[in-house]
Amino acid sequence: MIRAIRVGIALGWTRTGPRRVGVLLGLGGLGHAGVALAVRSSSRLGAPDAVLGLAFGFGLPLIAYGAVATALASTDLSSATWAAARLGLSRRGVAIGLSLSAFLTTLLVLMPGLLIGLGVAYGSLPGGARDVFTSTGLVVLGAAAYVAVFTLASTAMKRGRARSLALFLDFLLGSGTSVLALPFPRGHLSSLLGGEALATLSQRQSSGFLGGLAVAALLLALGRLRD
Amino acid sequence: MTESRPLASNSARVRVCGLYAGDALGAGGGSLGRVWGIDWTLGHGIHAVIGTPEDGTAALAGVLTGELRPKRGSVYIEGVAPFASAVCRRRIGALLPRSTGLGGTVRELIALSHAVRGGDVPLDRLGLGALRARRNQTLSVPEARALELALALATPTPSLVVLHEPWNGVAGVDPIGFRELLLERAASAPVVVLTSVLTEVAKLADSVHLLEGGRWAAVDGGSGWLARAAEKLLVWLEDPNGLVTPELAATLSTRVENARSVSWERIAGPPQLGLVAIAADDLEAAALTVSKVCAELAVNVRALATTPLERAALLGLVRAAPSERSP
Repeated sequence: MIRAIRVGIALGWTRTGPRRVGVLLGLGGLGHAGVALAVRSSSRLGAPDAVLGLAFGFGLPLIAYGAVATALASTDLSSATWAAARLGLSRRGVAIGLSLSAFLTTLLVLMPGLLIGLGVAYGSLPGGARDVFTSTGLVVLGAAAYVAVFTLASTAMKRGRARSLALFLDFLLGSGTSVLALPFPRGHLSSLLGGEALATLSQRQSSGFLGGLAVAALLLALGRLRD
Repeated sequence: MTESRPLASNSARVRVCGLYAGDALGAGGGSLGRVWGIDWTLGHGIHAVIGTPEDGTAALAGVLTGELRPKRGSVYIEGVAPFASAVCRRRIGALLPRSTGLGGTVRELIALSHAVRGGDVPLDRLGLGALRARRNQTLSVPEARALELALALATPTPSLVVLHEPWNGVAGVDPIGFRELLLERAASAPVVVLTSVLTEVAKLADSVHLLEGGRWAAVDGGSGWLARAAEKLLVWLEDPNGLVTPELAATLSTRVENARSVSWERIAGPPQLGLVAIAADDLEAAALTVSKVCAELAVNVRALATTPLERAALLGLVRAAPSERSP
């Protein structure tokens, strides 16, 4: 199993490619810094919120979606594992490796941009370090949840097209605060960032729900695979 | 040279029952070809499946190797479903239509294959030693397929080897080394070759199945044609009186070494022709003996040929004898 996970990580990283990561990294840094500068000129106190809104509202789901789709070679989870599974490695082990690769790619692409954006937004304002610390934890939690949800969605429909449906539903339903938003990371992340509580859940509960969502979605995805 | 390797009827390794499956080679991940109602039991030996991906060869290869899950029916290799067992897949060699390259170097991939499945990847025997120093992502598609062919033949004690079009789109493979490896693997395991290259099938296959539109259209013996086991040397003679042909057949049956059968028939037409058909293990040696005997008997040979296994001919035979089709 360990060998299968290791091969899965390497396979995912090969499919993603350092060049693509480098380009996204540059775009992410520029985007976040650009938004911070633009908002800061009109409202200095609103700049950090704008950067966080960009990072968690658009950057995180889109980057996680792209990272999963790339690691899975734009196909379904079972087919994506075949390159290694044909040698006799466990499909589940390879799938865990591919998910880990997508998770690390998401962190690698998003974090530097977010840090640059927050640095520009805060400037000499106090509270920057605390926000960076909190945001880093949220990015890790959010990336895990999004990658797991997209991985689970990749087990449904031809070539894992349910992945796109999950992204669409996250934008559509996850933005609300009703129970319909519960299965999607967006509402929980919004609540954790200081937004409206999701279906009367406290921030602590949302945080636990997000972690549980990541674990449950990954386990369900693995359960949909055979050995 | 050919050799005779009769199939052991009690050594069935692979059982396919009521199989319905589709590949994922079509547009948008849909099926390009499907198979329906396939029942098949395989022992060791080379089993050729003649057809194209549109006929379902890719779908059949996919479910046999565990890449695809059957939509209905079952595939068991030594009692285990390959789709659901990594341990089972370790002993399956697979060359499939789509190249599935991993990252890293060829050397690393070989080391991984060795660590997981054991056995050495026969790059040198296949004349592919130069690939060893390359990175997987720099290989062209035919080179990547050649590497996958070597990986497919690497398992020392395979439970099944499935090769999809091993003579098409595969670069730089030494045909002699490939043939030797194929025969070695076939001595102890079923080797399924799905192909449209009929000349190679005629030389190697112990059994031949014709896949048409997802169903078995013909199975050797069932429609009057056979694979290598019944490849024959055909000799057309000028025999106006019908006397030379039986005498020649009788002489050849004693003179041709390892002759399995010698038959003759008279063919009407101006001028009258006689036809002698010889089934033997070594058809080249049989042809030399025929020319010597014909010279001794002063018989005029009009033509001499081995039975070609051509798709058109097969289809002609199948259509000519629909009542003899196998299920």
